[in-house]
Amino acid sequence: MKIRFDATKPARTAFALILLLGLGACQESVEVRQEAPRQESDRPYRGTVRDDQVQRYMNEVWSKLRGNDRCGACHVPGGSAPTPFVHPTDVNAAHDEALKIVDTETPENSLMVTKVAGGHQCWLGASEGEACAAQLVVYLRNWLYPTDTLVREEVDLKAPPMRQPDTSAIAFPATSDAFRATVWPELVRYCADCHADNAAIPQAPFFAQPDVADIDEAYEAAKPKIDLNNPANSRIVVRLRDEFHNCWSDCASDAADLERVVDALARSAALEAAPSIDLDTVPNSMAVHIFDGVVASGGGRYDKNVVALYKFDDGEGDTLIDDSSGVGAAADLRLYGTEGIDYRWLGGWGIEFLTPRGRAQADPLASAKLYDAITAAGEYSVEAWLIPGNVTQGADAPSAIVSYSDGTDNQRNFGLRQRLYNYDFLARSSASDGNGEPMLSSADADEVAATTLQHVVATFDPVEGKRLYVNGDLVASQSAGGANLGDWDDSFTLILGNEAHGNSPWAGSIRFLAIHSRALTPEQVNQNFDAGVGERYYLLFNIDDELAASGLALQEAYILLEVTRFDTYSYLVNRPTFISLDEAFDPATDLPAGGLRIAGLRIGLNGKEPEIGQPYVNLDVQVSAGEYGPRGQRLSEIGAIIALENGPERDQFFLTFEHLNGLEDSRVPGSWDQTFPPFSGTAAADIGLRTFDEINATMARLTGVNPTLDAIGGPDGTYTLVRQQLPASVNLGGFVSAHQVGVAQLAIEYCHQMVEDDALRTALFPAFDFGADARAVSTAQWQAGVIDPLIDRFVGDNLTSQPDRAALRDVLGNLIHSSPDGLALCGGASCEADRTRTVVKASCAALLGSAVTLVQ
Amino acid sequence: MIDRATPRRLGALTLASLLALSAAEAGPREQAKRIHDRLVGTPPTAACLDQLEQRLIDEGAEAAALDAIDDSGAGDACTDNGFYNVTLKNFVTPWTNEEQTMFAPLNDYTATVIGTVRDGVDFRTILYDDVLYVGAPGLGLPAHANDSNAHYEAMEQRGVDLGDPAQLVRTTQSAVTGLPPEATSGVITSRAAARAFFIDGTNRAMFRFTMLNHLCTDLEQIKDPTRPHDRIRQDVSRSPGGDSRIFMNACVGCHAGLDPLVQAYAYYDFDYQDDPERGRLAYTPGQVQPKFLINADNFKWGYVTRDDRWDNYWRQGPNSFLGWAPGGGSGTGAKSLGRELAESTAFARCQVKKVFENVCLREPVNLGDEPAFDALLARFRSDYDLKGVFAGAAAHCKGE
Repeated sequence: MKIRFDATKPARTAFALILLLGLGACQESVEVRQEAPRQESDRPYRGTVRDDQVQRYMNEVWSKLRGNDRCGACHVPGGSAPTPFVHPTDVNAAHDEALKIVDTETPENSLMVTKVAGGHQCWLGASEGEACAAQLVVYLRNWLYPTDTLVREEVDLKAPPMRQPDTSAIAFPATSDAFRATVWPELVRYCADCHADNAAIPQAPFFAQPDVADIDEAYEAAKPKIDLNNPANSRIVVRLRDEFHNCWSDCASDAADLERVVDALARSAALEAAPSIDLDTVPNSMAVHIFDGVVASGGGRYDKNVVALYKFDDGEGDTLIDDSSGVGAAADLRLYGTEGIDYRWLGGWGIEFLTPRGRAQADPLASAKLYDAITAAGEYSVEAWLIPGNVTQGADAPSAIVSYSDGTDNQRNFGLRQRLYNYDFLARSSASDGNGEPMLSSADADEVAATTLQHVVATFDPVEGKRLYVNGDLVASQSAGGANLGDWDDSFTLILGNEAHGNSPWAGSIRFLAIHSRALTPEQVNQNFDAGVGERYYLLFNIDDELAASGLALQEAYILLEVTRFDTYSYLVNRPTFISLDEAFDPATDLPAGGLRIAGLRIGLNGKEPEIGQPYVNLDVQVSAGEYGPRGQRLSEIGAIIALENGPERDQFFLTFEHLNGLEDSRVPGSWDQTFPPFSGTAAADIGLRTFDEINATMARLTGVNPTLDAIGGPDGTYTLVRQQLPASVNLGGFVSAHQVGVAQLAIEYCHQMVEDDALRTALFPAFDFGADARAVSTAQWQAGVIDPLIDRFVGDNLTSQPDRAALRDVLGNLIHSSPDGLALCGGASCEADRTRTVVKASCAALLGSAVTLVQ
Repeated sequence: MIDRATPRRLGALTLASLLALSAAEAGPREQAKRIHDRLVGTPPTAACLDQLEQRLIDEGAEAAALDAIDDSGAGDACTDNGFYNVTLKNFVTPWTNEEQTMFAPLNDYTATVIGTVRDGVDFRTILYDDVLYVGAPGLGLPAHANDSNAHYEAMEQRGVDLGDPAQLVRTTQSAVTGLPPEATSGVITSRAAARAFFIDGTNRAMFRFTMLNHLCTDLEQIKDPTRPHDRIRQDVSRSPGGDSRIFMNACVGCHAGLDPLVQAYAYYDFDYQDDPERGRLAYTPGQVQPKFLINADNFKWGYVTRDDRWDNYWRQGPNSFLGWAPGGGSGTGAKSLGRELAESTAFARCQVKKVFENVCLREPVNLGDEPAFDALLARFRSDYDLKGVFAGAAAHCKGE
């Protein structure tokens, strides 16, 4: 059955094939380019381009006809033919001339076409006039009617094999413990000379890492090479048994040895695995493997003018990234560095650059096809799906993602770089320097670069200039002022992940790269963004049996799921859809009158329901004739990732339902412990410090001074200044000298304010003569007039939890009048007039700023 | 003033005083003093101490504690407003800012909690009621403004008595700020909370800090990756740095349950131009704030927020231990989510725990603390009067 989907793609026509063949001819010229002087028609166009219309003429007609083997030998100024529509140095004039011989309404009727159809200088041969005319019509249509005819992607959905979910499937244990006890010792013993990152010549994968600290890394590397459900089929066994790969004794017994330890791991995994699901207790679908699905990858992309294209689908062990554009000589990229150390292949297609030594580079001769196609067009696009490894790179030295350069960081045709959260696009043209600067950068504040999968497109054309798109959005643009690419250098090379000189490393992953010889339009950028990246499959889960059990007889009823290999560790599941592949299915008559209820859908993997990653548990939908369309009925628009277990070759998917047309999940959900954990900790002190505001309030209350006085709580008041210096925590152990200094400053301020305030001073010290000479005040007067009132108010009366009053009297008495340093003794000299007040303030502050008030 | 050498001399006295602290057994007088110290923040006057001591002997420690807290008018020797102006203010202020500092100025969030405690109102309402406390008109304060905190800062600077209902007055947000009553959600929709947690970002901060401050639970403690993933927004990368294990092992544990709850705040933002101090709470009923839709390309198959419907996935699974009240579990908007949180056991337990630590200066880990804690919790859940919890905790920690 043919099902049409939303993804769009350009119509594939016979003319497109012809166009590719035409580009193939260009490739031949590349090969001879090094040996023969260039023709005029090979040279980049250096003139101006008036507008979009002319630009399109240049790209679609002029560049294809200007060769001397086509029209360029005659239809030029001074040539033997009239109408110089391939004027070599003025494409604007050429465009205007062409309009004289083109029927813009009906290109097929153009004089240009009819002449060629009649055999006039047909480049395919004199007898091929009709073919040349057809090709010419395509050129003219592309010029005159640039909007591509887009058709919906058609996917031919085919019923997969019917199989029940395999509940005996064994999955890898979550930890590496069992691996460590079984397979790992053998791998270390026999394979670590190569398959370890410290080997003399390291060979990925590093499943034989000898250091136990790296056991998890070894485990992850070994998983794809081990088949727990069929140990004899494990790659590490097959490699020895059938391919005789570096056996250490004889291959048969070596293979048997590894098969034995894999079997031991499988037995251990079976023991610790969670119990498989009982299919009799829950409605479930049939099971499928990912490769039972219909491939949907690549649909919907706009690649009409692609020059080089890299899918990064070559995989582990390969040192060459294939250029799969099919255009010209393949500009394959050679990987530099050591796999697994400097770079690594990603599951689900991609390459990750890990160290500055990792890069991928084409040779200059192969790279020249970029020069040829792009300088002829005068415009281009660099399109990549990438994942920056971090957003800290590129600040001090460039981080080159894609470069077409001489290998240094100062000469290039184009370059795409990352700089912290920015992408930079360098494009050499007549309006730039040799490094393509001034570069176009995304705005710092936008922070567009993120460590997640991003679609980044940089375009250049003489009219719109430079543009930078991230995830379909235009994030930066810069006019080029009609600049041309005449200064491009054909000796440069295409490099990924660094410059050839090694000083511009970029850490991250590239999952797709395309170089186009056109500036993609915003619509085309979005089209390619929407098409996505990586392997995409439509998986069909048959539910005929369950529906029959529910009393509904349908044929070929399926839940369709889009499944994509998301990255090395997970799948993306997306857009569940109910669909019938039965040509005779009529939703109006075949579905129950009230609809077919589907609720609580869970994804099963290898006989179990993974606990993490279930996106459709809350789904509750009625499939009905009203909602069912030509593409079935979409159940959810949500997608989610689910962990990969045994790899795409072995993982088996199925679905379960809490409710399917009346059938119910009869399993009893588990219960949870509903108690709070008890308090724990050692016994703690039951006293502590007062904190800042409490200290301030305490001093204010004890002295009677208003804390909002300017000298205390004003903008420059003492409390305002010392507030954050005072204790903020009650913890006695956190009390430090800085706290005490702050407390002392505040206490002094409060005592000063109190003593200088007549009412407050008199209220506290009613019997003391503040006008007396300090030296003349007797010990008894100090005691009765100052010390006792202070203690009475600050310490309180009859409190055993406070310091001993007699001891406090002694301490304060010593402060005032002990010889020779007593404050009232004035060092044996005569005292200044305000000494008495000062002594009272000091005594007050000593007590107010002490533990008497600090501790609560 | 005093010469600069004086502080050095004071140091000796301070140390001496610390060492001299008596470890003697506490009688009613010492207990009364500690109760006052802990609740009011200041030592009692001699007259107040006498009154509290007698009250403690006659009616028990809790009665003495309540006596210390409130000024009951003529004849009451204990008139210090420190419980409201100092203790409660510093108790609440860290909840109102992202840095969790106590040194922030008084604001509408703090004032509203203080007033709620003072008036003995069901404390749960702080998360969902249409309530606001403002300074009385006659105090000469700058007028309350939706784009300024000056009103509350002036209250603090002038030492307005927050324990006096004639000075700190109860009103409603809808009457003062113009926010529709159905959009009000207690302190969640206060200007201070919006300034701190609705500002920029994705509004997840509001939920996280509400959990932290009012359920005493940070997201890290309740990670549950087994909840359905269907409501995790598009802005959460499923493959940070190209490694989806990070998402599955770490990110999803919070976001699976967090995102469907935060959706309650889909219509809220803190609107400011250049100076956040001049910003105001924004509410756009029916219109999802752009911050809920940003970075959509991080995972375009993720959930797209279309309204303020929230669902509590944590009612099932290991986080059911938080003690969700019967009913509830889903709703629309901040108010119903506030009620969902406030009616949980974790909310009540958290309030009691915070009060216990504030008054007793320790977690309830000493001998006899746990039964006392359980009794305080049971009592709080019977009337949700937080002032009573303060009094009960002070009575428990009065010393023996």
